Parts: sequence; C-alpha cells; structure tokens
Amino acid sequence: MLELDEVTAAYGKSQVLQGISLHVDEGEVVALLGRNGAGKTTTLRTVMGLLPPSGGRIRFAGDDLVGRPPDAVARLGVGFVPDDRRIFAPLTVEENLVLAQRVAGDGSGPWTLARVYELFPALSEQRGQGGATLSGGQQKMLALGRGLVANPRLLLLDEAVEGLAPIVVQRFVDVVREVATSGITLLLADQNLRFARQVAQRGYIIDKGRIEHEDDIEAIWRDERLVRRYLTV
Amino acid sequence: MDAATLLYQGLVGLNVAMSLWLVAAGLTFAFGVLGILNFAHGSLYMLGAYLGFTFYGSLDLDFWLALPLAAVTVGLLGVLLERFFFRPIYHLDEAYHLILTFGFVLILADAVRIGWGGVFLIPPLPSGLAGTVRILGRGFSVYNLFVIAAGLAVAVALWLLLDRTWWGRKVRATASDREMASTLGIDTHRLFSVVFGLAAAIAGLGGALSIPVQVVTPGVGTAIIIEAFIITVIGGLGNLSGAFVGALIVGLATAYGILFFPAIELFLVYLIMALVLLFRPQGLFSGR
Ligand SMILES: Nc1ncnc2c1ncn2[C@@H]1O[C@H](COP(=O)(O)OP(=O)(O)OP(=O)(O)O)[C@@H](O)[C@H]1O
Ligand SMILES: [Mg+2]
Repeated sequence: MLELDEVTAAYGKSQVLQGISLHVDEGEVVALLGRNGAGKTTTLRTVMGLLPPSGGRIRFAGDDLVGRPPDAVARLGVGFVPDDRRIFAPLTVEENLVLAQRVAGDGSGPWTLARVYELFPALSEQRGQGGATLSGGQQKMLALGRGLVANPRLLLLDEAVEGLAPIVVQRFVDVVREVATSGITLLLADQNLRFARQVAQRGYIIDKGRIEHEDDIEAIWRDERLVRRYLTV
Repeated sequence: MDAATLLYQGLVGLNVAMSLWLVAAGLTFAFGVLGILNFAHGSLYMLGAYLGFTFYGSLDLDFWLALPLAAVTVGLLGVLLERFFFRPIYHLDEAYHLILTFGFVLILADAVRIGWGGVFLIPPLPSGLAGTVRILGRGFSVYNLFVIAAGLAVAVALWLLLDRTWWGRKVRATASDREMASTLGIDTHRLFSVVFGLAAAIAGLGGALSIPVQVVTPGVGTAIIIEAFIITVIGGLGNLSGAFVGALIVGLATAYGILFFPAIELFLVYLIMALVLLFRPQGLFSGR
C-alpha cells in the first residue's frame, strides 16, 4: 500500500534521511523504531508531503506522492497524527473533530464522532471546551480521534503514547488494535518497543537516517543485541 | 457644553470610526491568517475609491451596483496579488513582506495617476441617501448614517462568518496551525487567496463608500494605512475585535479631540497609541 524507495531528505544543508526503503502492506501495522533523532518523524513528514524529499520515490496505493502538497496526500487517504498533538486551540474539542471529518477527502467509514467519544469518554465530557484546555493526555486522545474521523486508509502515528500514564497507554493499545481491526493500515513511528510490540506485526529499525533492520516485531523484541544497539538509550 | 453636543460628536466619531474600521478590518484579518502585514492595504482602499468613482460617477451606474462592483473588482485583484506576489514570500522574513507590499503602494499610486489622471469632482449623493436627518437638534447627513450602518454590517457579517460557519472555523484553524490544517486536507493556499481577496474587497468597499463625500487622490492610500496601522496596534495585530475597538477609540478620539483640543486633535491619537505601546505593547486584544 505504501512503498518508500531510497528516500532522502534534508533540513537545509543537513541530510537527515540517507535513503529509506520500506513498505507497508494493506491491513498491516508496521512500526518504525529508533532512538531520539534517528529520523522517524522526518520519514513520516516526508510521506505526508510536509518535507519534500531530495531523492527517491514514495508510492501510495498506485499514486506517486512525491511533489504532492500535504492536503493532496491527505485527500488520497493518508492521515497524520503528530507527536506534538497540534490541537487547534481556537476551536472546541468537538469542532476539532468535525472539522477533520468535513475536510477529509471522502471521510465515510467506520470512524464517527460517536465512536471516538465512546473510546475516549473524557473527550465527550469536554466536547464544548476549547482544545487548549485539555490535559496533555487528553490532547493525545483528541489528536488520534481527529486522525480517525477522517477515515484514512493509512494512518501515520507518531509517538502515540509518549508521555502518557501507564493506564492510559493500555487504553491506547486497545484503541490502536481496534483501529487496525477496522481496516485502517498503520505506520507507527515510536521509540517505545514495549508499546509497538503490543500493536504491530512488523518493524523496521532506523538509525541515523538509514534502515538498519527489518523483521517481525517479536523477533526484534527477542534480539537483545539489536535492541541494545539501536533502541535503548 | 451640553449633553446633546457631546452625544452628537459621538455620532461624528462613530462615522470616522466605521470608515477606518473598513480599512483596519482587512489589514488585521490578512495579517492574522496569512501573517503578512500589507502596507498596500490602504492602496486597495484607494483603488476601490477610484473604481467607485468610475462606476458611479463616470459610467453612471446605479450606486447599489457600483458599490459591490468596486468591492469585487478590488477583491479579485487581491486574489491575484496574493497568488502571484505574496505566496512566494510567506516563508521569508517580515522585512521582505514590507518591501514588497510597500512596492505595491508606489505601483498602485502611479497606476491610478496614469489610469485616472488628475483631481475629480465629488459625484452627487445617491438619491435616497441625500439630505440630512435631525438628530439631537442638529442635522446629520443621511449618507454618514449609512456609512455607520455599512461598517456595523461588515463587522457583524465577519463575526458570523468566522465564528459561526465551518468556513470560518477552517480559517481559524489554519491561522493557528497552517501545517496541521494542511495535513487534514485543507488547501491552505486556496484558503489564503480567498481570505486575502475578502480582506481586499472590504477595503475596496470602504474606498467606494468614500466617493460621494471625499475627493480621492493617489495619496489617500498612504494616509489611511497609517491610521489603520495605529488602530491595529491599539487593538492588537491580527485581532478583528481589537481592530473594531481600536477604530472606535481612534474615531471617538478624533471627534472629541476636535471639540476639546482642536490644536492637537491628531496628537491625541498618537498619544493613545504611545500609551498602549508603553503599557500593553501586544495591544488591547492580544493575539490573533
Ligand atoms: N526542523 C528541523 N531542522 C533541522 N533539523 C531537524 C529538524 N527536525 C529534526 N531535525 C534533525 O533531524 C534528525 C532526525 O529528527 P527526527 O525528528 O526525524 O527524529 P526522530 O527519530 O523522530 O526522533 P524522536 O524520537 O526524538 O522523535 C535529528 O538529528 C534532528 O536533530
Ligand atoms: Mg520524532
């Protein structure tokens, strides 16, 4: 469904992606794992069209993504949930969700406001409040909900559970599993192997802008040398 | 001085305020959304006035047709300006915005000199808006009442549009985080064009409204942009409510200044701005 082929990208003069090749098949949950500054976020931003790649190819469901602006990528069915939440502060919780639903290309699908509220009752309770008044964890829920109500075919999820309390992390595990079951393909960028292992089937390890390893997530989890070398701080 | 005089002068101030508001509104709106401080915004007002003069004064079109026609023409020009000149420089430093938009001040002033030439007569007031009504024992021009109503109508319309419609929520979301808005599927380029066009159209409307009461000159663009800047500084750059209140403050200060301190009427406005900058530099209504 998504295929990156030797993608390179740079911020100004510093080249951050050195040639990323990976693929995510329809219905899969794939984790992009790596340390601080490895290039995970940059990879997702490049797919989304937020950072034009300096080389390589990106294909999504038969379409070439390189050169498309983010809104065009979104309308092809790619959703993006950033690590830093980016809730629209001037809008209420509900307006954040409805806006995402309205501007999505097709938008029809299993994910509705009601379903998001059902999974995250805290959002439902505060639906009329300003987006900025939510706690950090609730903003993470809203960011994910906003990504879901657009009913994308592929969701790019950056550090889904970073900074969340353990009990909330467990909630997110359940939700992400449910997302996968609902037919949305997922590419997670995460430092948290423990979380990734609970939701993903396959993983890539990225380091210094290069893919260093690809395997089943359980195989990565068991490979202590690999984990120590690329994933622990 | 009796209460009637004071109240009457308030009405005069309201008239000044609403004329200025029609310029400050688009200036602050475009800045709040696009992040561009458009020096040439007053020149769009001037262009609206020239077009209004041509449509209403020369071509003798109906006033109620000439008004929207001038506004729409200036709005379309705004769309073109945004598309071909401002879009390539958003990411650059504000200094470039100022240089480019100031360039358009000069270009537009020369363009109207070439296109329209010298000074004009003031066309007659549109029938129905001519004459005066007696307010507080004095005559007040019906046309000036109409300008007040037009300013208020634009304020209410803008508020409804931005606060109550999904287009408005889209604009506010994009203004607060353009990148995130684009990843949801909002064509922010197109949105910016429309916002800028709307801002320009309001300025064009303001200019066209001035035609039956004021001689337009190529210099009017720079004169009015300075007042509009003062208003947005007082109200808070990028904030529409701030621009509205700022316009009221400047309009009333001008009107009462003439009454109480005729020698320093202009000074009063600058003094208010200086005090705001000193004690609340972000403006009375901070933020966008
Ligand atoms: N806006 C930017 N300008 C310049 N360099 C950047 C920018 N954003 C990221 N970088 C650099 O690019 C490299 C990759 O960053 P990236 O954010 O993709 O890493 P990451 O794997 O997502 O890390 P983290 O786990 O901290 O989120 C880092 O060295 C970072 O310093
Ligand atoms: Mg990151």
